[in-house]
Amino acid sequence: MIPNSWRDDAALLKRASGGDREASAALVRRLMPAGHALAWRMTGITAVAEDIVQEAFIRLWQTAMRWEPRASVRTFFTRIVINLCYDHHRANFPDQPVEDTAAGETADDAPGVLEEMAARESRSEVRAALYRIAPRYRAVLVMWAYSEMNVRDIAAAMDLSQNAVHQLLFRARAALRAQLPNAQNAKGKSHVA
Amino acid sequence: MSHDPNARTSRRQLSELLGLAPCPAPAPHLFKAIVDSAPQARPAAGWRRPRFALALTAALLVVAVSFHAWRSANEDSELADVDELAAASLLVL
Repeated sequence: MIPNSWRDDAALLKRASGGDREASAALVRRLMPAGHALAWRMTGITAVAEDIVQEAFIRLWQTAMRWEPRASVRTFFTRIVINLCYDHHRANFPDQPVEDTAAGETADDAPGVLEEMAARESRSEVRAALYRIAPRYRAVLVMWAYSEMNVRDIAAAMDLSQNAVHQLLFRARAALRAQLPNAQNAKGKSHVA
Repeated sequence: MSHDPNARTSRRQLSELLGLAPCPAPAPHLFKAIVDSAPQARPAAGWRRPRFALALTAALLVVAVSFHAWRSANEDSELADVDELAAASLLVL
């Protein structure tokens, strides 16, 4: 059964594609806040986040004419925003991959460990650590922590299976934990020992 | 929505730990810029516009009246030729 919000968004997109300005405005009102917040939390720069959201809507309008409701408009829009965030990262940090496949492979991310460690850090330290991990990890953590999306929605937005999202979340938490100053200090101490 | 209570707790803890700094509101001009970039209603083809149809009808009327007038004038002159011919033949006879 297709949720009402899907139908509403799809109906608005269809009307918007026909030049209905009210429908376009309504759809922008529905999608822009979450898209802007995601882009801002991914990039940390307000101007970049605004550029990304604007570009995401241009791409959405371009696909509006041939829209087929296989996924929700919101999920599709989120995917565009994430991909644009990755593009921004690639353009600005070409030597840093979007996904760090090595990070978190061996980390022991028992439930609560990250929370315990993070609780000892200041919020600014935790946020700084969030910007040091790979964008793919940041994306899944931001969507999980801040938005109302469940694993199925995140999987659809990232074009992954739900199981892959769980694994990605696990690795992302481990990568974040490794970037916390406490973890760095502990690592330094163990190297000295 | 996730219905797993542990997942909910973990999510809440994580969001708190990552810092719940409010996201800055997008600039006011952004909304208008995005709406302006949406597809515009396409104007109707020229021949379907009322003003164009009226002008076309008027032009056709002018052409029809002119043609009728030209034809009428030609018919008169042809009749005149016939009259002259008849008069000449009468003179010969």
